[in-house]
Amino acid sequence: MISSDGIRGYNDAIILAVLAAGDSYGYQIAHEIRRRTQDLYVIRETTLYSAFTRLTKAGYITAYPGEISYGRPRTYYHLTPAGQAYLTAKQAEWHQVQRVVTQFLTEDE
Amino acid sequence: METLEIYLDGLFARVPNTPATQKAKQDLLDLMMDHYHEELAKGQSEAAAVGLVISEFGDIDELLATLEVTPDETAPAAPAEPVLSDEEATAFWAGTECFARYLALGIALIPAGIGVTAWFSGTSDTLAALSFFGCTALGVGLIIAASLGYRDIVRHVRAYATDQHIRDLAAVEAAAYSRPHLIGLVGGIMMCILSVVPPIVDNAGNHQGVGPLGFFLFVAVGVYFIVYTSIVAGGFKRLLRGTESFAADAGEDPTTPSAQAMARAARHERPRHADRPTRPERAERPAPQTTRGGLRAFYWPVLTTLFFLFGFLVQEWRIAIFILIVGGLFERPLLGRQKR
Repeated sequence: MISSDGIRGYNDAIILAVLAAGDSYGYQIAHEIRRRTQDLYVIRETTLYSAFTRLTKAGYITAYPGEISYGRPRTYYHLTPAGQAYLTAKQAEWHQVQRVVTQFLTEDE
Repeated sequence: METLEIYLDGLFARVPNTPATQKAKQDLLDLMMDHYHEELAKGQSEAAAVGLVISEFGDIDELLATLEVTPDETAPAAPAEPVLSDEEATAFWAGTECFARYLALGIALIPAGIGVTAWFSGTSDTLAALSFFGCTALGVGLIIAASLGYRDIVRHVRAYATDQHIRDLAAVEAAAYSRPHLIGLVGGIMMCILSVVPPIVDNAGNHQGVGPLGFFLFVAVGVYFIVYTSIVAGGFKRLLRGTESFAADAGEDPTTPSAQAMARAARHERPRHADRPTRPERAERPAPQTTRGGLRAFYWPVLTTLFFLFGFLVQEWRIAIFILIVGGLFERPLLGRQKR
């Protein structure tokens, strides 16, 4: 299992990538991250909510009340155009990071 | 899920109450509840599900940094008192279980005694009197002994702070006990409701004398289960809420938790941040309340015993009722005098 620290710089981008597929709420996003990584990365609740707060402040996502659960509206998140642009930039950055790190850390080298 | 809510309350105890932190708390609770229900759906027990939710919750400081809030500096940041160990927490819960058993038995013995007295009253007045006094004396004795013993256990725990690890442990224990607590409560209430069955059977058939005995025994068993399970569950919740938050809430020196905080801990109430009394107000309150509380513990049991004594044994129900009325009228002046 990958720790939050190991992936810290990409938590925000990962959440944005999940939201790119459609609006969603906290646990569904966490569940989707776990599903796509086949339980390799389990994002912690505090890490997830910290990312939501950061991304909302930056204007990359917006929060809105959704259906009622546990007697109150569930908070849903929506990817904004700014968030989409940030995600695209992060994707490009990741390709470069991946190439650089692979140069040094791949066992075959 | 009350356990998770109390757990989260503990984490946010020292966090200023702003709209942003309130929203964060609510959303985090939703996240935890979703996680909890998913674990239950996977076949985990309630305790295991709570354990998994807590272990995967993460670091609250990370979130507070993002929310740009700092814990209340006026409150004691890190517990200045020694921290409660695993063994001490386990000993506290064992002590609570023992107290619950004896207190519930003591309380249940009183209606049970009345039932047995009613059973013997038709045949032998001596046996009736013996049963009544025997059960009442034993019951009241158990209540007093259990309460005095538990006071020392609680006093010991109050001298310690509960850290996150103990709160995690308490959350798992509280979740594991939620089902027995529910069964105990429902079963106890059912027994109290079903207590009308023996008198009905008594009236309908040839089971003379079974009615009153059955009625009081059913009530005794019901009361036992309600009291026992509620106290045991309260023991887990007390450490789940933590002693830190009570001291912090009252703005009190952590080594001398205020009487108000202690009283709230004893009543298992949630900490309230509004209407904090000033230090001089608090300083005046504790002693009189304790004295009055101590007297009240004995006042009505004694009056009730006198009531039954005159009613069942002397057959003077008018005097018995008179005792209760006079007792009610004099309660305030008597306790007031003690208060001064």
